[in-house]
Amino acid sequence: MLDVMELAGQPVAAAALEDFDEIVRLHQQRIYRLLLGQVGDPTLAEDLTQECFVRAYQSRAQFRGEAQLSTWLVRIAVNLARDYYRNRRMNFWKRLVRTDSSEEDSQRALAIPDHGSSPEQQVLQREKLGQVMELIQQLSQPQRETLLLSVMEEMSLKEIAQCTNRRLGTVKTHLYRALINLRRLQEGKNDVDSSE
Amino acid sequence: MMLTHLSEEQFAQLAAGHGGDGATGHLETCLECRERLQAWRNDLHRLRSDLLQGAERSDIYWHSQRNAIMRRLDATGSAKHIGWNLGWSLACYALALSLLVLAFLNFQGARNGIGPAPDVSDAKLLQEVEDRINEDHPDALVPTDLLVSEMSGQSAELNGQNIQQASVQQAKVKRVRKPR
Repeated sequence: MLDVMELAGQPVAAAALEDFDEIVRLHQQRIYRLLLGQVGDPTLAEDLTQECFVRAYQSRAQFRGEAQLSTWLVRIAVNLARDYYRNRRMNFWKRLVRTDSSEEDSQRALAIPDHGSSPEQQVLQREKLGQVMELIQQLSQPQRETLLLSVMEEMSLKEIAQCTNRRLGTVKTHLYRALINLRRLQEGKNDVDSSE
Repeated sequence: MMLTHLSEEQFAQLAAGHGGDGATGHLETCLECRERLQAWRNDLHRLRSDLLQGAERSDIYWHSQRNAIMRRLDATGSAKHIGWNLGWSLACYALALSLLVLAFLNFQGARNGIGPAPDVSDAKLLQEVEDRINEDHPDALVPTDLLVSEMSGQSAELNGQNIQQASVQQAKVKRVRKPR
């Protein structure tokens, strides 16, 4: 199976471009979903998904097969999302200076550029995504990261620790805090503990 | 059996699928906590399905996304290849240029007479030095030799040529002295 270390009998490190197509086909949905949950912007998630596979291809020689291929890809995606937030923080003042409406930005962010689904489907998806994102974006970045990997990707605590490069205890703390905060938000309480 | 209700932390642990310490025993007897835990689980389930639904795309989308990724990978590979070729070309040009400069400097050196040193063997060199040591005194130094030999009384020890020369000189001196 491609999810493990080998690709059609040869190690991933030696995978040619044509072989990598299969890896993309198998994992692109998962990576996209994870990045969408992290950044909340379908267009940005699309770009980051592409970037994730480009980085994976460029550094395929570093993949030693100690973890599953999917775990390795998720780790690259997690780092990409972290880079994005780091850059976003750095651009904070730039955006403050800008006067155009943030409403327009958020509408653009939730626009789903899928030409294969009907307009009704797109509206429904946008609504769903908007509601979920509103909740998730209120969590701190590590809490959101851990929650998405646990709830959406159904990863074990050990796998999350591997992907996020954190200790098991820290992962547990982030997950439990995320769940508690989420519950409070759903109940309408706004006292969210966003400590990292 | 626990008398107090479960804490938020314990609910979070149970909702995440990890056993809260002593919580399971309490859940068997407390209906309120069971209902609350079910609500936690339902919320999580809803969140998951909403996220999955929000991230759902058509096959056309995934296909075009895959193509875009492969195009980028292809472009990255080509750029790397071009970079590699460019590097090698530059190295070759630099090598050729340095060879040309060296050849030119060598040519200039030969023109200015700065060539390689003549090949002289050690034996020949030794022979030359020996010959120079053994060669006769020049004519200008003969009177000095005579004076030295007279003073030291070692005229007999002079070699044949010096004796002959000395006698010639003495004859000249006598001839000069006779008219007096």
